[in-house]
Amino acid sequence: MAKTVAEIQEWLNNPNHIKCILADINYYNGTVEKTINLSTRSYFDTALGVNTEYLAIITGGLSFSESLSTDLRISISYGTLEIENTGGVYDYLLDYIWKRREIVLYIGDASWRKSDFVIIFSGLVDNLVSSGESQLQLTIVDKLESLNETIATRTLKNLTGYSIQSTQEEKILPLLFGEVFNLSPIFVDTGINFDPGPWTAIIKNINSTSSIQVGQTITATNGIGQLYGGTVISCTVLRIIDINTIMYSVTATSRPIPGSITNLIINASPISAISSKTLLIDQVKGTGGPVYKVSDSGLNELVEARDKGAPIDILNNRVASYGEFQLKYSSFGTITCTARSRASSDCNVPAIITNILLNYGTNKLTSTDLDLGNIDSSRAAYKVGIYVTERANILDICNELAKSINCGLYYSLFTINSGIVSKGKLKLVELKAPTTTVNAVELNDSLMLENTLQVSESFTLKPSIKLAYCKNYTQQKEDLALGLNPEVGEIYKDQYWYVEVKDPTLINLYKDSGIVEEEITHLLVTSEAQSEANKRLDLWKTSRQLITATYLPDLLFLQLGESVTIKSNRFNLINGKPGIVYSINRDWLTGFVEVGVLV
Amino acid sequence: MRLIYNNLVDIASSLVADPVGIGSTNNLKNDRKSSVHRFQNLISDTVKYTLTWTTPQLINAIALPATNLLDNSTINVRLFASIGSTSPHTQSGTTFAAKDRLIQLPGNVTLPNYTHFSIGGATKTSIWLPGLATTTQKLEIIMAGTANIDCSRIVCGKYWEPARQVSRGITLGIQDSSESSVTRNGDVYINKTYIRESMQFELQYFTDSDRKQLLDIFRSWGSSNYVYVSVFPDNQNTEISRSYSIYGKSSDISLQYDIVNYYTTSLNLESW
Repeated sequence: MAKTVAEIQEWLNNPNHIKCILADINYYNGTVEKTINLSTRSYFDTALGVNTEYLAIITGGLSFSESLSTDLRISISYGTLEIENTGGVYDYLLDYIWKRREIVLYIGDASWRKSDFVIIFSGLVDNLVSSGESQLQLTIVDKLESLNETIATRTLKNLTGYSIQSTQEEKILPLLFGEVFNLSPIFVDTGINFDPGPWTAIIKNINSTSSIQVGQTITATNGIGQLYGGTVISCTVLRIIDINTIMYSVTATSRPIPGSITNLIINASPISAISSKTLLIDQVKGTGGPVYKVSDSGLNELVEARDKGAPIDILNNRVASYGEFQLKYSSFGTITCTARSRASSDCNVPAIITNILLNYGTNKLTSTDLDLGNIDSSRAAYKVGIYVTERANILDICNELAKSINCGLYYSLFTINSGIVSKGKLKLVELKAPTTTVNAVELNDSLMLENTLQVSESFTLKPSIKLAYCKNYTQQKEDLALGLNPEVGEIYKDQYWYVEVKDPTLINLYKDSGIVEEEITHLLVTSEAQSEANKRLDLWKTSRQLITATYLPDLLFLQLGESVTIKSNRFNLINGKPGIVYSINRDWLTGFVEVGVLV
Repeated sequence: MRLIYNNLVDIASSLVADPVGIGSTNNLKNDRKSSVHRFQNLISDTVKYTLTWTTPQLINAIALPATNLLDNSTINVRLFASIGSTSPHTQSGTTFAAKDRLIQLPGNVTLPNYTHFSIGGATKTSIWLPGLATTTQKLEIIMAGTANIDCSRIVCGKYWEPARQVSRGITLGIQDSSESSVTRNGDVYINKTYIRESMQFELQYFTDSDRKQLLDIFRSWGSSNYVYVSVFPDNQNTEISRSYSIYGKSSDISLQYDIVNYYTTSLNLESW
């Protein structure tokens, strides 16, 4: 069983340890998927049933760095794995396919069994290249790279059975995640294909008997008959134009198609005389208006549909499965709606990101890849929504959502659970005001290497925070319904609503103008936007600094965003200050780790 | 002083391990100390490497510059005139491979293995067959021991020996590349890396024919190829013989003209 974090730390502090890094790398050799085993020093995995030789040809590139940033883009740098290739012994590897194959790196003592080794990186290979005669370089990336692709790939061209015009075929079918306000759905059908009925049809060539009268309902005990493949539910005589042209209102399980020829087999009295006649359906009129698509992935609820800003009646039968709604009547102006892709309780950042990552893209993640739970519970519950109408990158969308709750998204190099290290997972890292945390790791002078402690960055203090939220996806300044209450009409004019929090004392103290640029979010609820703004003000109303130092291997397993305490006789840290881990640069060959702490 | 410079293992047409062991036998053909072949004691106490060549070669020296052979391990080298031959034309006879080897590795290591090669856990073994003029097309290296046998490199070929022994003042060096770091509290942290050996000696007043031979070696092998050097190859004290052997390369090559027909050179060898 793999060593625990505590055991690894103790081992690294023993000067007699013999560090060995193992790499299991998958590739495709043109015929089958295989695994190559490389290492920094010779190693044989002789576990029962295994006899694997690790080629000791890794010579460098075992330094990995991760860093948060104030714009919440987490940068991760892996460098490249350097592979010895003197004399071109391993040139043949260049012919293989490495792209997006898994690579796992382990650290341990050369005398240990492989099962004792601990994972230090799990990710993907990007490429294998050679920059010189005696070296190969294996570029490695994290699994986020596999999300670097378009989320919406279906276009109108992929819709069949709709009356949408072919000129718009390349338009992307939109996707809704969470809840959004006043979006513009795309027109996909005149209604002709999805009208639920009942239909009225003029049926000609009926050799009627004189007993038929207007208003007469054709009734039957054993069903009424068949109309173009569907069962006729009811049939009423609307009008008698002449003896061969009688207009019926027909309710059927399928829509009669104009111009088609059908058998109206009436089993019931009083028109048994016309049974088995060939009839022409001359005109069909349904009850529904045009059909609009909101989201290609279905909807949980269409909260409200609007025509020129005024609520309108719709038919709901295609909402859940197709993400579409049909107007009951024709439209007058711009059709918009407010809709939800998931239950209200699931319209939060972790749930939506999970949904996206498990269901979209070529290289979908699985639930074992995700660990999105480790953030503030209130932030994790904030309602959000985003509407994707153009080709957009999966990673960008997830980052946008995470940013709304001041989090960054990254794929950790490894995960620690109860002291056991396992493969990395996709995580949210919260940039929050450091607070004193029980059992936080203490970074102190006995772990810092001399002459490495420095204040590497001072962050700008912010005495006010302004957040934009509740995006109005269709700005409507004109062309609103005449009957609309002017106050209601106002909400369609602006793109966002705003909340602003200020600290007047700080504004005075720092001679600040008090004017602040808004930060865009995908939040929806005023109270939650207010709370988010307060949290951001808490973070930035203090002069924050990044304190960086190089530490002993005891801190190799710190995680980005982790709460720590930093204590030193310099930089006013003598009594210890709470901080959060802002950057980590681990050098697995030396065992030293450079940690940046936000205090 | 004897020196093997043209390692015929690199041109061997086959190199077979019996039993197969772990790791490729190609690992025995490169100069990376950590790239090894292992015989598992679990499978057999007695193990054998068999090397063959397409044409007969003159071989009078065989060396294993990094193994984990122990005090009680034995070695026997058998040389055959042809590949099909079953009786050797010459053999060393079974002899101790690392007699009196002391194992004092950090961390209470008593059975060193290949993982310790870079930190002083390897031993050297060499077999010299002076005067042998018969050529060899098949070579067997038979070893026996009570633990796994890890071997990093095989060196074999014809040795060169100057008429005069090296001068006094041979310097053996041990370089530990481990780095010490100090914390702000003053604690020292050792980052252990590797330990290498070096050997420095002078060949004084050697003759014109030795000069010619040495110049040939230097011209062709330069300072980039490894050579196996043993200063006391036939010493009764095998520990002395091992300690004053090195598989390394010379960092500087120069030849000094002393007096008519007599020359001096200094060899500064750094181990692999």
